[in-house]
Amino acid sequence: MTSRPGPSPADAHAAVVDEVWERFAAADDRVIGVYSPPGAGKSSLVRTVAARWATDGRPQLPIVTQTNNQADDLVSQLSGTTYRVGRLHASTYKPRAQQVAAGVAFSETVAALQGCDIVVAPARKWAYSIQGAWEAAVIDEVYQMRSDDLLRVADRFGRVLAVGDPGQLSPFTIGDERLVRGRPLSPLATAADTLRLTHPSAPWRALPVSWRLPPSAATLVSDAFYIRPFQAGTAEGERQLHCPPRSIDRAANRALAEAARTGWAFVELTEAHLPRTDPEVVEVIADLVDTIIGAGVRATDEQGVTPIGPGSIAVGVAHRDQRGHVTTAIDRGLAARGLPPGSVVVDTANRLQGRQFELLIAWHPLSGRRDATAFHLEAGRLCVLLSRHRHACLVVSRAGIRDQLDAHPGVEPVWLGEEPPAVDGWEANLTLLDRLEEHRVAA
Amino acid sequence: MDPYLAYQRLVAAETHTAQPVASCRHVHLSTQPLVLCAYHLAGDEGAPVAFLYGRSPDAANLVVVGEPRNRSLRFRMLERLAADVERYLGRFWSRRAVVDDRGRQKYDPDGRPRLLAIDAPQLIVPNSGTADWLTTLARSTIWLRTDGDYPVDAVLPRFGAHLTHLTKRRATGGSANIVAATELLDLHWVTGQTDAEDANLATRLSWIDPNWLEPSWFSAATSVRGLDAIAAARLAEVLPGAGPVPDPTWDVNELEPAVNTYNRAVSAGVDPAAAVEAVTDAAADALAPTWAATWRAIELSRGLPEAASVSRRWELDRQAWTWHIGRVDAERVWFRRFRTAIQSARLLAQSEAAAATLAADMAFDDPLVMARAVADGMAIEGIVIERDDTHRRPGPSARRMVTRPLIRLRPHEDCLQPIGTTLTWSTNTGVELEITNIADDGVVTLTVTAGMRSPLPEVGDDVCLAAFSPPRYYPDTLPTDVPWTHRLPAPPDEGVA
Repeated sequence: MTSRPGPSPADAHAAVVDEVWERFAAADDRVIGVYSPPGAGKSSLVRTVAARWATDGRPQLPIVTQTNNQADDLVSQLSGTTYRVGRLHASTYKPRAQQVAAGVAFSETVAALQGCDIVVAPARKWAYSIQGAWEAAVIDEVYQMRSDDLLRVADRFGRVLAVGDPGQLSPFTIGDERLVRGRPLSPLATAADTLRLTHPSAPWRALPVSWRLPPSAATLVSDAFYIRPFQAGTAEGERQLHCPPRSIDRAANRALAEAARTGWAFVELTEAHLPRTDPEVVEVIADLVDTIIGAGVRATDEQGVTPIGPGSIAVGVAHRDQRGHVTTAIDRGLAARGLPPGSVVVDTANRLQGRQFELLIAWHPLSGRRDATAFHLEAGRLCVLLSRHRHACLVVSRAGIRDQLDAHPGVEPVWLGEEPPAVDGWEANLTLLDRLEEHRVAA
Repeated sequence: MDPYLAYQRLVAAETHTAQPVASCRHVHLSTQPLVLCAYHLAGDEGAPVAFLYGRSPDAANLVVVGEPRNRSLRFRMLERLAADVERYLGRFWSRRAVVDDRGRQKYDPDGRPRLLAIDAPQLIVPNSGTADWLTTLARSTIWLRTDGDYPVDAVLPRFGAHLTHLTKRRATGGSANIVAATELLDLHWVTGQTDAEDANLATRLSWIDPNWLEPSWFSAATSVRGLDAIAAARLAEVLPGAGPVPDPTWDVNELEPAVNTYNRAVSAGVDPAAAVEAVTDAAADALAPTWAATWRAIELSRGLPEAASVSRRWELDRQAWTWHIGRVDAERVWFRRFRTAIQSARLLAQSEAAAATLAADMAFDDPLVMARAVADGMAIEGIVIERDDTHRRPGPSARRMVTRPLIRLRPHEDCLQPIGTTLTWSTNTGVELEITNIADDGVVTLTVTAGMRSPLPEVGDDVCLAAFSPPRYYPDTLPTDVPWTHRLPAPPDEGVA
């Protein structure tokens, strides 16, 4: 292992966590912010803060998540400890059996959870809970939270610890955004940007280490998508994929070999303009999944050696209809191997936010398109897809993306009075392409 | 673009005929709309040149300004337009009492009897550009003063207030107070040309009705009858622009000489009313095809039967209009220059609810719109092959079993929705089903989760199940006061002047 300048990644991480906790406990700042790149231990930070808060015997601490899934995941991580965890939820919600078994209190009302040290719920649920006021709260995934969601809950909380990943997808609306754009504090801004605007002197700290991404990915993702750089928590070579030798006549085998060797593979199909459910891309992705499952790949990491099975692989796409076609194709392959359908996770970028896998196969959002719309160019979408993996990421695309980026003029309006996005999607796409092309495998 | 629309566009291009993408009309069309076509100076949205408007195709009023850069002349013209629009709006002042099922008067929360306007106004403009420009026109007139150095007639700020209300309705979505003819056509037909070409009302209309062109707009040698869509669209391309920005060639060849004629005549002492004739003629000729096209678009759309939810959306327009005229009568028509964070959030929430409602309503009202969802994988069509009304599964409390009928469906295409998705039956949106299994052979197993007391799909039925449902309404959770997170810090002290 090569020596690094400065403190070890673990020490650098712990120093930030300690400082954040001390400031939060001291109650001098109304807003404390934490930038957390992908896999930088955001959940462990929230867990640590919650545990220390409860141990201190302080009043109840609410935690605001953005989705039910995030709330459930957080509750799983918090349960089984000495302090009492409550989960506030809507009437249509079904509690997970193992969490009930683990002693988590579930209720539709705040009053019923009064005995809990920590109460977790999504922002929308907090907005519907009429009673209650709390000294302080933790807001998780504050970059996914829309400013108007914060508006609906903020007055319940005296001060907040806001934690989030600035590389996430920007909030969007199905309504007419022209109604509310061009003014500060737009409901479509992120809650993080709103807090920064209204509390310019609030301390914001960045978690410096990604524990999820291997060195091959941390540098690339940090360079393309982040203003505040971060590093990988593991050293070069600490994580490895071993695949038994396979025939290099098949593109899928070559792609897997490249991914195992370098952490990346860029599987390129011939250039064509196609509907977004491009059947050949579906076939290539299903074939890659099948190849990986059949290859008997083993992964070495900090914890030891584990086989790569269907549960360690995920496929990330841009649209729901792509998800449908890919799931159908993969499930057929799984059935042929006698595996249950759905054992490989296939989902859209926004639903993969916050999740982690050993290997990820990404359907490039610009593949096969004639245009490059803001939706498909968005830096956050690509960033989420390319930062979910612990070992390797395989990107599948039609050729011609560079030409498409060159040819397609930006048509998005500039909103006067609003901050432009910190990372430009067009530029991020080009930076990424420069690096991916070194790992090109013709499909 | 979704696959069904792409396919219909290809068919349109192949057959040289516009293709229907709706089987009914999804927009309320008033029996007494006010059609309004307009030009403003290129590069100056605040300088209108001409308005052609009226309530029937053969009763067009035209107002023009001889020198569009002269502000006094501009406001005199706008006052004439404003007076006519106000007269039109005045036709929609009658309200009647809202009664419940048993004929008893309903009351508002403040104790006053609830009223509803019998009808509401509808402005129909040629294209989205003109509809959007009405917002600018509203903003440029509502704040004008009736006193001071440059007073305007009180009708102008009133006109601005009415227009502000109507344009705000349009922005919130699902409203028919302001309708753009291009959008009307867009909802119901696709053409074989590009989106940019479709923005031109004249060429778009030529695809749907190639016979709408008038011989008088072209040279005597040009034949305008018996053309196919592409030939008609080619001809229509050379017609003057539909506004609000005129063609640059028209600016140079018609408008500039006419304005120069006006200025020369006025400085030579000619009566301005007579001197303006050159501008009047130029504008009347240029706007005539757009006027005809807008009315033809209305006529074509009126030919479609009205979709089921249209009257419900129009009632929302009528409710909003009732509220507006109530404020007018009470002399309380105030609008904010800038919205607070809470007002912005409320407006966006309304816009989102309206957009979701409109999209779902259109799909459940109209099988052709639903076909797009099917092609997109957002809805599933198939034959019911089995139904088990006695099927039981664990209830919500997991302690006892409850009856939840089971349905097996053989879909026409692969089901692209994941297991666990809730689907809504298009025939009766009260019936909801959850996908519980998708077998290797594609057969989908569904459990009825809502509406099991109503008639369910029968074995042999060809059904359509959508992965979306008519939106449900939840109470607004916005606070009354701006919270501490949304108050901007005081700007730094700028020092003493």
